[in-house]
Amino acid sequence: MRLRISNLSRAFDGETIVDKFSYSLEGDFFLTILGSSGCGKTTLLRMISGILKPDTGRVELQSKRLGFVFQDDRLIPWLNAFQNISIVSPESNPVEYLSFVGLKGHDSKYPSQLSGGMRRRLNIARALAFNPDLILMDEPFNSLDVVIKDRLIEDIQKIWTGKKISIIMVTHDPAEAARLSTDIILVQDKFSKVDEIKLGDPLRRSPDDMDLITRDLLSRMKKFSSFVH
Amino acid sequence: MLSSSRRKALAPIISVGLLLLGWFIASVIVSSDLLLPGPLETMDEFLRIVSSSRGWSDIAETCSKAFLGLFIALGLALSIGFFMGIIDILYELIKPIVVILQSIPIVSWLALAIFWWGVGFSSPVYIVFLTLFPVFTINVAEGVRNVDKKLVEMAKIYKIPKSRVFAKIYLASAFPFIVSSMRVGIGIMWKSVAVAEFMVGASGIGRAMSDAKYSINIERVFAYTLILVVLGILTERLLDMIIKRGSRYALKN
Repeated sequence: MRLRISNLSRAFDGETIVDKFSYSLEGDFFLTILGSSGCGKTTLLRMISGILKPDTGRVELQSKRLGFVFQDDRLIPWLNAFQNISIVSPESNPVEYLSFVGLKGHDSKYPSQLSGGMRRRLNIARALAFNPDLILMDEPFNSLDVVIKDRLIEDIQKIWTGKKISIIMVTHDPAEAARLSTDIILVQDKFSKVDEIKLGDPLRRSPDDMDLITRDLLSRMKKFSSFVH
Repeated sequence: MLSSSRRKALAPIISVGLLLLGWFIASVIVSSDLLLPGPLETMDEFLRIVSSSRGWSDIAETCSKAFLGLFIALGLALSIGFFMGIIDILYELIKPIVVILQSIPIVSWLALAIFWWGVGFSSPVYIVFLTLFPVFTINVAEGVRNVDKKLVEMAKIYKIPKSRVFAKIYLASAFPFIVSSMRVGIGIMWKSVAVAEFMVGASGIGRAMSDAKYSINIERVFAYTLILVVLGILTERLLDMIIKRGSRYALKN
């Protein structure tokens, strides 16, 4: 997978959200775009996905099939779990992906009949069934309870290691970033300061390393927010 | 004590019974078949109509005009309303025209219908079409505009083919709007087809009512009114069945 972002800018209503941002990355990466809310990280993700056009600059992406895990799930309410998967990839076997994310036997349930955590899993199953070479995730663990969140983090790590898929994830949580990422872009207030951090293989990272990285990320984020207040 | 479901089933029987009783008492007090025929006389005439082939051919005529007007209106409204719904500028351009069409009273169209289409089959169809088309179009457009833009964006990211996005996302979210406009529309349909036939029809229930009025056969006017009421209730029931089937179909693959 190759990602090359060059001189990317985007403004909304005259306010610059992403400002002349350049970045490139290659290999089977797990890239985390980290930053506190309102820093422009979702805007960047939307431009990478191609759904939002930049004002200037460009995103080059080698990806042929792109899956997306939405923060607000975006499941079709009048289709059941099975149909929500088959509508994006009619040739896939939805049952296989449903059982992979632990939703075996829930194929005929509608989104409204599933819990928040189950909906998020269905959202992930849909992205996987699309057979992507790259998955974009917008705050995939947001508003989930701790136990479910922890299991989902393990699942996502399994997906990343097992399937040779690259992942780009947006989050505001430094602990998630420290646990999963090969690379981090730490974005501070509308791209006025961006740190690029290379971490390497997350599977070789010890819990102590993760703690250290988390603390380092947090202190960087704090430094900036004290600057604001 | 009655259970609530039995009470629900019983309620319409009681209210219709009370209505019939009131009608019966009023007709006894008035005691003139010219001013107010009673329910029994009306029922008599009703049976006479539905046991004659002339009666059935009038009913069939009216039904075919009503449904032809309905289907033309629905077909056009689905296509025009859909494009109004997805293209904002079309919505802004067409909506005022549709609102004006909706505000023009039936009598104005009737006055024109005689000159444009003459007395006969086409005029009532055209009247039904004109009264239903604005209602359907606005509702389809609103339904499509009501679609969750985030689902459309999801479909774009996953490259879901346009035809499937239309059927599974746009049409499905417009479905409740279309259904409610159909419910309103069916009532309007029977009223407007009867008025049109009454004024500019060569045959059908409305024309038969007009003839009955001229020959001062008021039982007949009442009996045909009863037929229109029955048709209205039957089509409403039919619509309910179609909706149930339709939503079951929409839920399947």
